[in-house]
Amino acid sequence: MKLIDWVKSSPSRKVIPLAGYPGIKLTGSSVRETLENPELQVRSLKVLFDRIQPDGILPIMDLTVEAQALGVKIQMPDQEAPSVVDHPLKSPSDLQSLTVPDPIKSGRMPVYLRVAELLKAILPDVARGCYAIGPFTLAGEMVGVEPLSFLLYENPEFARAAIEFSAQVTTAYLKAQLGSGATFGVILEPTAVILSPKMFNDFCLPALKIITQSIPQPIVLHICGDTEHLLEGMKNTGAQGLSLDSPVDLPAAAKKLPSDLVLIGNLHPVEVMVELSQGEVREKTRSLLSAMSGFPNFILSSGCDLPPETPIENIQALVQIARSI
Amino acid sequence: MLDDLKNAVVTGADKKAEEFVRQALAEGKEPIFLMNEGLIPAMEEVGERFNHKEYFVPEVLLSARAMKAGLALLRPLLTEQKFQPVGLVVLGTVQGDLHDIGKNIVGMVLEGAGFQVQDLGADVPPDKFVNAVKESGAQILGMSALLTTTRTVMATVVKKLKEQGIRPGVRIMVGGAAVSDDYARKIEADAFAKDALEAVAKARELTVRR
Repeated sequence: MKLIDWVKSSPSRKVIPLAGYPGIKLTGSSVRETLENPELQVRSLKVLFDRIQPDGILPIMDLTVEAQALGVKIQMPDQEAPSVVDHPLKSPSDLQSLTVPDPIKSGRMPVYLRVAELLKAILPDVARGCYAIGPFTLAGEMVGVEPLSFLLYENPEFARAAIEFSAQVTTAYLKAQLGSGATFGVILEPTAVILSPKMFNDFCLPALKIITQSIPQPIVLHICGDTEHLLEGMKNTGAQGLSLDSPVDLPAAAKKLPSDLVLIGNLHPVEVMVELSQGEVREKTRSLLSAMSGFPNFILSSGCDLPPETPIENIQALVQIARSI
Repeated sequence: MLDDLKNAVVTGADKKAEEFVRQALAEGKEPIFLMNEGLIPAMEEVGERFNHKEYFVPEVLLSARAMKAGLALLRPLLTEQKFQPVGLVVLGTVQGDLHDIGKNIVGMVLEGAGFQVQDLGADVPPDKFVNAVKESGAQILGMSALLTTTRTVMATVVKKLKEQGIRPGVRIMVGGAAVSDDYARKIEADAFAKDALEAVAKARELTVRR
């Protein structure tokens, strides 16, 4: 089913906060254990799901899975999100020696395949998303974002090759998670925010199209930060939904973008969802819903991933308001 | 010639920028003149283009590299001539955050504007910031955070500087997508800079005010 059809399938607003990390504290496990153990992760996701009752569920966001599967060094603290600490891809010959990781046996990709399987078993009637890193962001992790920025101008063939290879990695990983039980995919492409519209269209757009054209299920494209300058480009990627962050004027974007492209977002994950009281979260939610009332192609969400310390009551407040309108 | 140099920096032509500086020095132009009338205005133009969304991070990086190439020839001469830096700035991205491109650009642009910069890198714990300020006697501390979840480290640094009685002696500037004017005020920092151009302007203000 296309994403827009699912959104319109009921009169009430769909709500899917990007909520994975806040559930970890409900189980007493560490962040690290939750990212390494699929049963623990699903337990934490289920506990959170039961408390919030959103319209869709997503696994714990982790931008290091693909790089790790490619053999890139990552650091995994006990209580924080992991990060990539090395950028080994220095030349085209380095790229030649890489192969697309097999998701059933590379790094922690199997963890997320198992999460998708388990979520399907316990929540068969809920929309179940899966994440994969975007091609430009993965290329940035492998090469280093600063070197990649120079390559765009000084060795565009190498840049393009790295980005296209990354698109293949993402495609394989998304397909495997969808094959294991997820119902839609979310491409996380935060690094693209640094690009001019021209650079996005030249380097990022073709790679994103490779992914969306290979996958029949709905794909959502998420880019953090102020992506106003990229909305035109993002709409052409083949994604059925755009997940937008708090700096974007969502109603203004909705006016310019096609009415069958679903917009997802965009309450500030920290300034609203962590720092405000339940009452204030309700107010902000009401404001946003009101501003978006003329647009059916909208899923209420946070602008970006909710941090671990987000009060559960605040996420509940967001969902309750969406249900009540 | 000055226009050629400025143009080389603005278009990110680092080899040309270096060559133009070399030529100008050979013709007897003063290093401080080349910095003040060539490199600094060029980076200001780059900053304007960034503000107007003509230049984005990759374009700014290319220009900053060109400026740095020119500056590399000027710096030893400026040191020889005993030019005092405008001020000393300690810079770093806060603990838990590895994003450093913006901070790196700020560092380069501050150096281009005559500041001395001690860059602590990324993922810098509060104590490392505090000790660097203490040991260097820096006039300015610049902290960067891209992840909103890590910006609370900035508040911790401010607190520690107060506890150790060093807060009055240093001006604190914060930047990065995770922070704002409001946040700077909330944690009692002295300034927020939204980009490298503003960072230089604020750094100059903060040094004069002392």
